[in-house]
Amino acid sequence: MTTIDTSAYTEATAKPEPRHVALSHLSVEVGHFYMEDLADGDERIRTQFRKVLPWLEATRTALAADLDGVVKPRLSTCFLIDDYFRTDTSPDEIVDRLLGIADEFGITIDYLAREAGCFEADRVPLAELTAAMLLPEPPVGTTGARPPVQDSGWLCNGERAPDTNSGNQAMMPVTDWEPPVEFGKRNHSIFLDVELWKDRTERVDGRLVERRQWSCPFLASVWQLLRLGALRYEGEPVAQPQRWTGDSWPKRWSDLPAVVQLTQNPAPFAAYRTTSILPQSYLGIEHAVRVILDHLDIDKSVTDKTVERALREGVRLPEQLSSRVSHIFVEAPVAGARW
Amino acid sequence: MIIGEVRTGLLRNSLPLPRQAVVDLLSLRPGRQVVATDRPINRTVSPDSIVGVDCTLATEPQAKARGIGTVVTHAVVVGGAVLQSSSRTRLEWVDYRERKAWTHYTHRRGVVDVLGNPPPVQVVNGSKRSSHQRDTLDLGAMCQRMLMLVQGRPQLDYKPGLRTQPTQLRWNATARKGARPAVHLHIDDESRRTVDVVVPPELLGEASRFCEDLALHDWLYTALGNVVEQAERDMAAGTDPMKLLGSALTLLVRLWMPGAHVDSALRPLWADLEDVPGFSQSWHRNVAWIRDQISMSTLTAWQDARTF
Amino acid sequence: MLVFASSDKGGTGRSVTSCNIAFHLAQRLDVAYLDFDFGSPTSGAIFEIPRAERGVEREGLHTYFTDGITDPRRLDVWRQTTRQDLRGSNVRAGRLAFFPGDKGGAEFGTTREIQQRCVELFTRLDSEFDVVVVDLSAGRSAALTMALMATAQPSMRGVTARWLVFHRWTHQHIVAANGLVYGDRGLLAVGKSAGHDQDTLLDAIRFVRVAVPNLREHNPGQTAAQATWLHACDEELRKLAVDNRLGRSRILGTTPVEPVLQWREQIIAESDVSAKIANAGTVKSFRELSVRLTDDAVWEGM
Ligand SMILES: Nc1ncnc2c1ncn2[C@@H]1O[C@H](COP(=O)(O)OP(=O)(O)OP(=O)(O)O)[C@@H](O)[C@H]1O
Ligand SMILES: [Mg+2]
Repeated sequence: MTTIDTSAYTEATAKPEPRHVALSHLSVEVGHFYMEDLADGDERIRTQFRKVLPWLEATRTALAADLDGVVKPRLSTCFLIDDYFRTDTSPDEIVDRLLGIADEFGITIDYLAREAGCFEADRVPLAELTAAMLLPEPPVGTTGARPPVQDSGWLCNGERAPDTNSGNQAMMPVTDWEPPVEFGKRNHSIFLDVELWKDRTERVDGRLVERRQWSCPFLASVWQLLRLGALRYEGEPVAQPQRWTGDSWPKRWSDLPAVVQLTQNPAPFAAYRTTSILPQSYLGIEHAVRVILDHLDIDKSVTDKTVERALREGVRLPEQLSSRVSHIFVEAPVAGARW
Repeated sequence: MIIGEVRTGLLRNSLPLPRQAVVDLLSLRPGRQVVATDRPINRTVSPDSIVGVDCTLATEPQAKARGIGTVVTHAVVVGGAVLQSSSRTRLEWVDYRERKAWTHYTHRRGVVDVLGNPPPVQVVNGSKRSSHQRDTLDLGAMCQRMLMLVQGRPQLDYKPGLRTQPTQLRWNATARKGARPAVHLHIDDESRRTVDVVVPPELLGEASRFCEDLALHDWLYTALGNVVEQAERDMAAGTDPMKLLGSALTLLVRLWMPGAHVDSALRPLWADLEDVPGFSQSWHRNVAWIRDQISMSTLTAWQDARTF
Repeated sequence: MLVFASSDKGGTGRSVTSCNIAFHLAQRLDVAYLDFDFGSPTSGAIFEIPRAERGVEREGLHTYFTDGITDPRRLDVWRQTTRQDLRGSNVRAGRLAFFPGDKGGAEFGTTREIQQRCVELFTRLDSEFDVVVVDLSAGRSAALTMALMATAQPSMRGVTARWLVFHRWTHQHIVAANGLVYGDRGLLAVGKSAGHDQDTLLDAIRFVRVAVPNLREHNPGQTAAQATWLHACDEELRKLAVDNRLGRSRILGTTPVEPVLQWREQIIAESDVSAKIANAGTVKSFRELSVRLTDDAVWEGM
């Protein structure tokens, strides 16, 4: 908090430190389903949970071993449903069926989250908030003279192949093609260029409006940030889990909170670390998530406090958010492309 | 050591903006707070925006110097009328040679690591070069971009109440143990200034606010001087300068408060500047001149009315 | 206020006339003059600034647009010109800042970034100068399109923009000037697609007739038949101008044929007139143009 301080007068000029959220040791994602996966009978869901179960047990064991009996392990499970790219199903057809199948395998799901909630939760524009934190890595020779390319809606882990000639003066010599280069590569590059969003013009009530469609990897990054308890809006925690108090599930996904608490007394939703158990086809998305997480200007007062708190419990946390995120990829069928 | 640049100009709005409108104007990053102070005069600061850089640092005489890290920029609005944008970065000398993983830099916002071990004075001198050297760190560009971003925001009516020339002030602050704070202001030309500040290490963080305050007052001083000149030109040409003088009075005059927003430990620096070149004295003379012109014109108008 | 100088044809006198207008405006106002004739940046020669005769070595407007420098080079005409009589002309004159192009600079394609930089340059200079004169390339150029697009931006809506179309007093020039404003891909059509209101834009356009021969002046070398023929031509052109919507009410002014300018592109100062080298009428016409340019009554909607 900064103050103007003269002998006779002080004025608080900023709000207090960001508020904390409760944190587990580990948040385990036991699935990320698209409407196509859910609409098409129970078999696909069943396969997923069958594959997940042994790994879920393994993460529990591993966590207990890591903590070495010093503190009681706090592990919560969660599940993400994509209602951002398709909304044409209804929670009252799906949620109980899903939970029933999980139950068959003895898997408890503590929290159910909606992908559209990673776009906006409780009126807070989470995706926009995260986009404003992007801090792209500069290629060698970046002086700050030109605007960073983040406005373009793409983010990469290296330097793109130079653009040939657009916006140049006429009659300039033509340059040869050069390959893109990954930053910090040793010998060869694994260059990844991620589309974060797409802006399109749509007609709404006869008027043209610009709408930004966020990409699946981008929303998945917001999802990781939520699970790591790293997002704040003007210092306040966002998308906090809420219980669903209705007698039955609603007809529309958007009537549900972004994160719904399903069990009585679960460990906190957010955690020091996250593990996601996903079908193999999510590998690309999660690689992209990692690139995004490594290029964010995260509120330092939040992350520092988390590291300190963990240390007080005897847990050593890496400063880098992406190092707190791990994955287990299982062989499970999915219905079509993931993004 | 910190290097920075402050660009100061008038908001493109016909009247001073009220407090809440300024807060909206400077809400440039969703979720990050705008900080407003109300006394003795409203000063509102936008959240920092951050840009990554990796380039040569200008040096004088030339030495090998590469800077990798981030530069922070924020916008400041004073009295709802004057807009400043301020870019700065702390330079830290390091002995590694290869760029590290990007997260090494993102964790230290507003710090640029200096590779190649150039002598610090050469880096300071380089940052003060009169023309920006191509392909070197460009604080001015980041500053100007922030300025234009704010000037294009929908909270404004895009009609500046006065035409004024913006100024650019480049500054550097060096930490020296046990040093008494000291400042040197150099006027390069009509619109450009350079400032050297020396402070004890614990006050290094306060230097940027001092330089923003100095830039504000230097700009006010310059702008009012230009207004007086323009008014004299109008009077010589038989044009009525009252509208111009009136705008200057409403927009600029009440903003003069050297040191008001500066840490008390650095306020003595203002006292030094008041000795030479003696800002406030000539400021008040110009203000008095403007007031005289306005009251004389009112008097004449009143007498004319009586003779009818 | 932004003033755009355009013409359909090259060599109409667009640059020379607008430089002279800027010179007169600067006697009482702060004026910027931008060389947007990117294919051939030569206005420096008219102000007689040797180091910018064909553009500057570096950091001119080309570099500003294509290389992303922040502050394009600006030259103080009063200080940089080699013409002594311009320098000392008026102790109370306003600023006259000349923004040259780059030596060897060429036309460039417009990207979004370049478009944005154009908006920034205009807004910056409009907050700083009373009048910003922009000399565009001849014809339907990229510079003209860029200017039309920039001025249509929401953040420019508080900025007054006026458009001058220069043409010579000949049949071809009149038809061409009509085409540039009213024709396909003309100022109005492009302006409309960029987001301008067409009527408002039309109200902000005026024609300038350059180097119009004075037929009333006695010319001893002329036969009666020639004189009659010339008058008939002039009358015909007048009709043609009206038919092409370039008539009286749409013109900002006219400049006479000036012998000095037939030989040399330059500023015509009072000193040239008192030295009996240039005609008083020429200076008067430039001064009138500069007065009418900033007189709101002249620009009220028609
Ligand atoms: N009133 C005038 N009387 C005689 N000659 C003139 C007059 N005005 C301009 N000229 C001359 O006309 C020629 C063309 O003028 P100028 O270079 O200004 O035209 P322009 O339209 O800018 O041409 P370009 O398209 O090549 O830039 C010059 O030699 C100039 O001196
Ligand atoms: Mg020309």
